[in-house]
Amino acid sequence: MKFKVQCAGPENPAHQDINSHSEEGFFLSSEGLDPAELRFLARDAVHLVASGCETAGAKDVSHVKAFIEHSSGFLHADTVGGNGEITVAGRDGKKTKLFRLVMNAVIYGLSEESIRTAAEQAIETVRVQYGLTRETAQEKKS
Amino acid sequence: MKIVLIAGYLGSGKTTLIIALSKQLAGQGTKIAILVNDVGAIPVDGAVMQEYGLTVKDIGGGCICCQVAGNLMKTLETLATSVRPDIVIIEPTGIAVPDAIRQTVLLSARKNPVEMGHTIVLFDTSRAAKFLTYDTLKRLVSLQIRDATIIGLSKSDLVTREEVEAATHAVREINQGAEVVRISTVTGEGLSSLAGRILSAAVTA
Repeated sequence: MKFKVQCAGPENPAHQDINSHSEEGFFLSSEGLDPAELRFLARDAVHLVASGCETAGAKDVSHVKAFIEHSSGFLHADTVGGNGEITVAGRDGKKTKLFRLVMNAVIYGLSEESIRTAAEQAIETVRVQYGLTRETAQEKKS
Repeated sequence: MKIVLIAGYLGSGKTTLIIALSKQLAGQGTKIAILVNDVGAIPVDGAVMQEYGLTVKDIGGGCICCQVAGNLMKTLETLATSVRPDIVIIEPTGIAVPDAIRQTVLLSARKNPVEMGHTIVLFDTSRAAKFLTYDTLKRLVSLQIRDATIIGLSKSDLVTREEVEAATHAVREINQGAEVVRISTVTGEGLSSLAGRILSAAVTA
């Protein structure tokens, strides 16, 4: 899902170089993930999106965020500025089989398409690494 | 209903600061509501704040400094009539120009019991050099700093005293009138004094 920043008022000179991409999905783990694994997953997802954007030529990985929501808790993870430091916080719950993951990446100096590619590749890598199956938000709602 | 704007570039620590400040202000008996405008198409900041037990309204669909200013006015009206908080903290997107939001708030004040409080703009001291390297980024960050009544030098625990001094000098060159305070949500530096300033008298635009 793309979000192109557009100004109706006086043009903000920096908006033209800032693009973002959001991904949302519901993921199933047949074995279930314990709280520590879920924290690693959030960290890995943020790291992979950020590093993917850097490899693609981003001037500044302005903000990459992950939000994980499940029946007994939530996690949020983020990194700014491409310094490799990732913060993970939230409320751990029980072992989790189904969770919702939202990834937001806002990048300076990279096209929307490149951000989308980095985000999709990152999520697919994490999905395989943690043995998950994915449903889109629309599939989940239906 | 006092409106406090906490702006600043992406990743400058707005959400973390708002969570910390809101808890502190609520602990002093102040009723707080938060308006969040997330740059992502699927907002997450509001969800995170709600998980911490805060009263949050999300404004999506674009940037409130330009695209969805009307939504901001409508949301302020709803808050004024239904929630009636003492203070509304607005967290705009990291690319928003604060003055444009302040003008919308002042317009809303014509028909709602709203007064404009401080415009706090965070400047991430750990990324100061990068902000001042790229032209378009420098222009945006400068616009944000220009509009501040208080400039918060965030993440001051991550940098040396010399770097804080350099950051102070850089923001002072852009805005001589604003107060400059060091802030760290890790060490708690500056939080109490910022809460005190938020509670103080309204600021005229």
